[in-house]
Formats: sequence, structure tokens, C-alpha cells
Amino acid sequence: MVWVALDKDQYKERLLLMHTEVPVGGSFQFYLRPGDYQVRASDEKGCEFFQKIKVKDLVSNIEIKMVKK
Amino acid sequence: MKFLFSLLALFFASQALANCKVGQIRSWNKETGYSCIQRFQSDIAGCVTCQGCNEKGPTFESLFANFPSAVYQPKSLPWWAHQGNFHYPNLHFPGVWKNRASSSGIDAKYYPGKGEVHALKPNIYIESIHEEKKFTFSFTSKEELSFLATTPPLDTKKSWSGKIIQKDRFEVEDVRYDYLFYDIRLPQDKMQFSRGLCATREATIKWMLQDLTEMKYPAIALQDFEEHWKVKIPDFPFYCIYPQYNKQLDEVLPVSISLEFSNLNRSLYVLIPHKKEPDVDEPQLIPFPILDSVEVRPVVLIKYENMFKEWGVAFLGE
Repeated sequence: MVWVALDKDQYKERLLLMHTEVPVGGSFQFYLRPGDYQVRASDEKGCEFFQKIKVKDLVSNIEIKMVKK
Repeated sequence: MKFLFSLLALFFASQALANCKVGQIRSWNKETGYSCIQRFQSDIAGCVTCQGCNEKGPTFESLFANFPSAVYQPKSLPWWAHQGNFHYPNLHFPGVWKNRASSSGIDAKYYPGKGEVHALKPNIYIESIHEEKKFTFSFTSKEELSFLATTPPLDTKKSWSGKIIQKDRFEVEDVRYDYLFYDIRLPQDKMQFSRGLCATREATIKWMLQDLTEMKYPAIALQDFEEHWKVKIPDFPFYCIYPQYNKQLDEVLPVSISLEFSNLNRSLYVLIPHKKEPDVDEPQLIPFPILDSVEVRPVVLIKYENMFKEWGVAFLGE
């Protein structure tokens, strides 16, 4: 599962914008307004990836590819 | 003697409380007593190369694997719901939500694009007679479209190109997908708001599932629908449902499939939440539905070689 949320430290402010299941090797494309976000990828076993991103353009097209190493 | 009796009682009790394996929990009922059943989530013992795992040994959870479990078992939620609740306060909403006096819905200022109708998770499934068949699925609107997300990504022609494999899955760029997915914003004036019904939250979910079942959506589509929306539809007591089918969706979001002998069945349920039982004497921003939606539902009598089935749920945003 890939989760896209506002980049906030406080739990109650960390609003989830969208999430979807992406298979290993697959890609997820999403569009955001300018701002600070955090992207989390997690699976059923508890494996997790976390990244903060800063969006500057008015409508940004971001693509994430899920790779298992 | 008393001490010996206590020791014996403890010995026999410990024999009855057999140790459960890792990945199992102990369950009890009055007919069979204690038994070991599979834990809902698999243990993380296999996750040794991931960032978030403990590589040093048993986790806190597994230390208590042999203790009796609580009698109360919480409602079954998909695995991602537990993770989502841990990290985010609004998991049980379809997106960033705003409660308003007039009508609650998506807080649109957090999302790019335009359109009052936030169509969330339209998923597209396939039932085909072919083990392998090439296809291209294109969004052909000449208007600018306000996509919010897609999996897999659309190409520059707003298309997915790949193969149908094993009759009921997609393969795009050598990756297998159970369904194609997108989120999009659509204009409210292209939707219909005269046909539908109002019901409790639970009855709303059941009605939508029944509607999809009667349109012969495949089992995986129904399963995914229920798993996702039982979590993501907010906990309002009532909803009014305004189904949009091919007639509305083909006009506002036309598509083209480059595969002969194909059919696309489309359903998008626009949901309006209500804080109390709908009162026909009270004026509404969106009037209550008064006509039957089943009369305008796509007829599914012909079985095509390739049946594409799309479902989605939408909420209004401002």
C-alpha cells in the first residue's frame, strides 16, 4: 500500500490524501498541489518505506515505482 | 496435600494450554475449549531486509504468543486499515474531509484540478475468454481531465497499454495488476441526481454490492469493493445514493478500448451523507432521489469475449 499524506509531526494534522495498493514492480502516479507531503509504502508483513517530498509546481505529477530488493 | 493438589492442577492446566506456533493465537469457545487459530496478519519474522523491521530477534508480540488471548475479538479489518489508523487520523474517510452544516464532503482545497465530484478509486476489472490478449484502454475526452491518481501511470496519450493475462488480470510493462485504478474530479452538472435511494450506512454498502452483483461484476471486484468501502465510507447514519452508469460516465469521461468484442460496464455511486434520517419536508442542496435507478442500469444480458467492469464511489467536495 502506498500512502500520501500531509507532512506533519502531529498525528491529528497528518491528513491522508490518498492511498492505493501497488504491486511489487508496479508504479503509482499522483498529482499534488504545492506543499510538503510524506509518502509511505508498506506491506502486510510490516516492511516499510518512508520519504518526505516537497512539491513546488502548481500541479505536480509524481510517479513512484515499487521495487523489492 | 493441598500444595500437591495445586501442583497437579497447574500441571494439568499447562497441558491443556498447549503452546501455539508463531503466527497463531489462542482462541476459546465453550464447545471445544482452547485451540490455536491462525493470526489474522502474518508475523514479520520473514521481513529481515526491510527498513522498519526488528532484525535482532523475536518482537514484543511474539513473546506473548503462548498466552491466552482475550475473549473479545475485534471486527475484522483489512491489514492496511490497522496500519492506516496508526499513522493517520482520517483513515475512515475517503480523503481529506470537511464537516459542514449544509453538506459534509471532501475538502477540495487539498486537491488539484477542478470538479465538485471526487470520484475515488474507480477500479476496472476484466473477465475475458483469452489467456493472453493485447489491449489499450484510453481516456478520449477532449476536455482537460483532473486526474488525482492512477495505477499504473497513464502514458502521454492518457492510455494504459498492455495485455490481459490468465483471463482476469492485466499486465502493463511486465507487471501484473488485479485492476486498473484512477481517482478523478468530475463536474457535478454532468451527474444525475433524480434517481437513487436513501438508506443507513450499512444498507448503503449492501445495496451497492447487490447492484454490482446484479450487473454480474466478478467476485474479486465485489470483494475489493466491500473491503475498501466498509473502511472508507464515513460513519454517518444515513446516505443518499445517486448511481451514475454508462449513460452519464461515457459522456463526462469517454473511453475507448482497442480490443474487439469488448464491453465496458461502468458504475459510480455518488454518496451524500446525512446526519439524521432524511426529511422530505426539509430543503436540501441536493434533492432527495425520487426515481428508481435500476430502470436505467446497464443491461447485462450479452456475454462479450472481453468484459471490462468499472466501479467507483464519489463524494462531493468544495
